[in-house]
Amino acid sequence: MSSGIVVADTSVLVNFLRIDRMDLIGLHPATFIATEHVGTEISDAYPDQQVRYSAALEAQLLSEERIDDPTELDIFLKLSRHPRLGSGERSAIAVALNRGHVLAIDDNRAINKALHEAGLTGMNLPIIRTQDIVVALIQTEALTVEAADAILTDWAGNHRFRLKINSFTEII
Amino acid sequence: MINLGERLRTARERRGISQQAVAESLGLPRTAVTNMETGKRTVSTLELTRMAELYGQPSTYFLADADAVNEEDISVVLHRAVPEMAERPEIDQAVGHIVDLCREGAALREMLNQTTEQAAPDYSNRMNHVGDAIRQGQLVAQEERRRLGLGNAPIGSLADVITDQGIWTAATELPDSLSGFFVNHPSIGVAILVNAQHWPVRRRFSYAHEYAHALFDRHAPVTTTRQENSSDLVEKRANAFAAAFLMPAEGVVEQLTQLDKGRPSRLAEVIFDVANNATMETEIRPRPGSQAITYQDVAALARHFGVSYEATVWRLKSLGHINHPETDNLIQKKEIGKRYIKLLGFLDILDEGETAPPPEVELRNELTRLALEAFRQGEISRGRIAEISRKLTINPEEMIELAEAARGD
Repeated sequence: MSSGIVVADTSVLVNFLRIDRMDLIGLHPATFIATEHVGTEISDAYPDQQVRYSAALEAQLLSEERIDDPTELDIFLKLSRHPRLGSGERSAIAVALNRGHVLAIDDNRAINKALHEAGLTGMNLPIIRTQDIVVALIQTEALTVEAADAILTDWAGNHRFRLKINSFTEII
Repeated sequence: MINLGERLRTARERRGISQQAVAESLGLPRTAVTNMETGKRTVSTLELTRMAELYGQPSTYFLADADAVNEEDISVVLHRAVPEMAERPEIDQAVGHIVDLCREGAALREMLNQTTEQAAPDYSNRMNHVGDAIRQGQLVAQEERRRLGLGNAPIGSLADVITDQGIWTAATELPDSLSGFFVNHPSIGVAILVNAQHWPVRRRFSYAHEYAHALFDRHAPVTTTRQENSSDLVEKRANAFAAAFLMPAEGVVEQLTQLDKGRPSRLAEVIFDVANNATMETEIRPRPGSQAITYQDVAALARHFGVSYEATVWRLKSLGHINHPETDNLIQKKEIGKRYIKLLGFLDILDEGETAPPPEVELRNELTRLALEAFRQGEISRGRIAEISRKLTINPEEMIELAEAARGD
């Protein structure tokens, strides 16, 4: 994928935190940002990953932003009316929609309903998943297919995160 | 249109929280809170979420068009009905937490198109005197037992039975004088909260009592049960319902028969004599004193129906199985009755000890079930599952894993 800005949700970041490979986020051609809400979710829901997340911020592999733009606050609240999404997801969507960034999230089944209910269906929201991030890393030669497949095995075997492929060769 | 700053100030003042307390909770200087309320400082999504939690409001309360909502805020309704909430933050917080869980549950039910709040019939009726109250309570208890297919059997988990009727149930911290309350509000539906400091046997009676309010008095937004309003007709009706619902008249007779008690002192029997084509009359007289209902029988009945010793005595009296002196005698023997209960190990029907056992888990279980189902059907996201699990004090990672497994089926 081309460079640009990706707003990352907890679901994606935690996959890289668990294998202690936040360096891959830094190697990605796009710049990654996370909202304060996502940072809070990581410390609340995944306290074991808090140190790694803080280290990634310190190493500027991604940045964390306070979301106080009135338009983004309004989108965030509109998405709260029907509580389908977590606050981290809502804040990430608000930023991505308002600024025209890409959203990185692994679970987007409830998003379309939430956008529809919030009257936000006309807005463009490109979405990428963890799998797409790895593919981009392979394509930019930041990661070999073998190394990516090793990560795939690690996720499935040790971190209960399974992709619907056996090897990245299937989709490159 | 009211702006965000004004809404923040109104919500804070309504909960009686100082700017300083908000600032400390958010880790900000007090001036930051002042400036947010006067519109001189921006509010972040995270700060807004935390303030909403602190003020017991959904985030949507702060939407610019939220003033179109007409209904009175549930926290205002509850503070009026339970004024102690304003004086005791721990009660305010505990009740607020339960209300928040009910609100989550109501939203999940809506997403799943589950509208079970009307499952329990509306039996509202006028009463002119105590007789009306007692009769209505007893008749509806009988009808509800029939409708729910309970027969004459004891009820296992009463909170479970009520939850199945689409009513949220929870035991939580309440003022000592408050056994429980019933609330009916558009934001959460119908809910029954009982005093978690009371022992399970008393909580069971409170659940049954508040269930009566759900059946008879649901048009009132809140009905509280306190010592000082026990003489009200609606309270007498609810008590009559609770006793009859927990201890059905025919069930009591069946149990007394099993105990070989409660037969009249003289019983006339007529037998047909086929040889002489005539009837033969005889009179059966149980051994003198053998039919007297003793504290041991009361204990056995209490154990069978899962109610207290005292509640059993009063139910026997109201059903006419014991007369006034016998009632007095059995009540006087309540301590010996409780010693007997203790001796037999029926500790669950005693209401004594240092700490009451933990509250019932029905609300937590129902909310967990709804959340997993909503996730499975793609109605809510992973992040939402994590949020709900935190409110239920369930490990979010564990809950997400269970949710993913449900989706995989």
